[in-house]
Amino acid sequence: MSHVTFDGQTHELIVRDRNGRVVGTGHANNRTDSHATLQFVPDGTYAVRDRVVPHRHGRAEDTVNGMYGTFGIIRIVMNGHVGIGIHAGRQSEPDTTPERAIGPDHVTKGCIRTNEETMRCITELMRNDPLLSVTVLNNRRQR
Amino acid sequence: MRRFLFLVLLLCPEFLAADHLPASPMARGIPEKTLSGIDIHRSHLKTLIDRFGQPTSYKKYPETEEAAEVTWDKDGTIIHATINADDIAYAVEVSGKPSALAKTGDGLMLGGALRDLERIYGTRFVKQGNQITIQWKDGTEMRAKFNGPRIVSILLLAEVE
Repeated sequence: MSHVTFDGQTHELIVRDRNGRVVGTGHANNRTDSHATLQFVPDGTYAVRDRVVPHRHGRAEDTVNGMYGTFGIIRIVMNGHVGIGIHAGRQSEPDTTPERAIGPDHVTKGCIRTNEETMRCITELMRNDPLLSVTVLNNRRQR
Repeated sequence: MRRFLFLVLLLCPEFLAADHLPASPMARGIPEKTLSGIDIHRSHLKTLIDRFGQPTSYKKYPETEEAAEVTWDKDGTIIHATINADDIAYAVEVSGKPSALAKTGDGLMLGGALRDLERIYGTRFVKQGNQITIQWKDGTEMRAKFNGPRIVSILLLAEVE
């Protein structure tokens, strides 16, 4: 089983295969809108809902600059929250916060956002090495 | 069937917070766009000041780290707008005294009941405690808080993912 770790201090997503070998790293963040029902993903290890393929919304929606990026969302199991996960999206489209952040730093509803390359790495890995858990470390409100 | 769906959403702990809803409880139809006459995609702060007068409270770069948080008290009806970096009131909340000002574009008002909400927006929503959240496919979200049978606040939020 593969594993993903998000470090809220270094803003890095680390992807490991079933042997614990690091097979990919990438920039990620957890900046959220001030109205989000989840201001940040608390530290902990979460079971994954989409273990073999990410949840997708169709080609029209899952685009590089769309909400989720081309690979869709990998949802985690979090008590009280149905749609929290890891996704890409908004690669070159700034958000409307004063920082005008793009890519992984673009605000979310609570999700961890990364880039297309890291989502590709996870998606290719999980196909043969199911992603069973995601660990979040050193996280806090990122704004 | 509608009551059954409502009951399922009420009892199922997975449906507590509307982060990214699966398709099933997502509202159908055209997303709500206005609250208190404020269009969450188009209304600039200046337009609101022209309409409502000088705000009761205006905080630029507040602790929420949005561009501004602005509040008007109109004879007991409280209108709160969150302004984004494009100077648009992308989130609007009304609370306090029910009045003609405190209603959505489709007519849901402070003081209204659950049946009013269902009649206007349907039964595809999520219930969490005393709050109902409606989320449309484009990401627009509306949250109505109840005190007993009556709506005491309405928040309309433009799409954020």
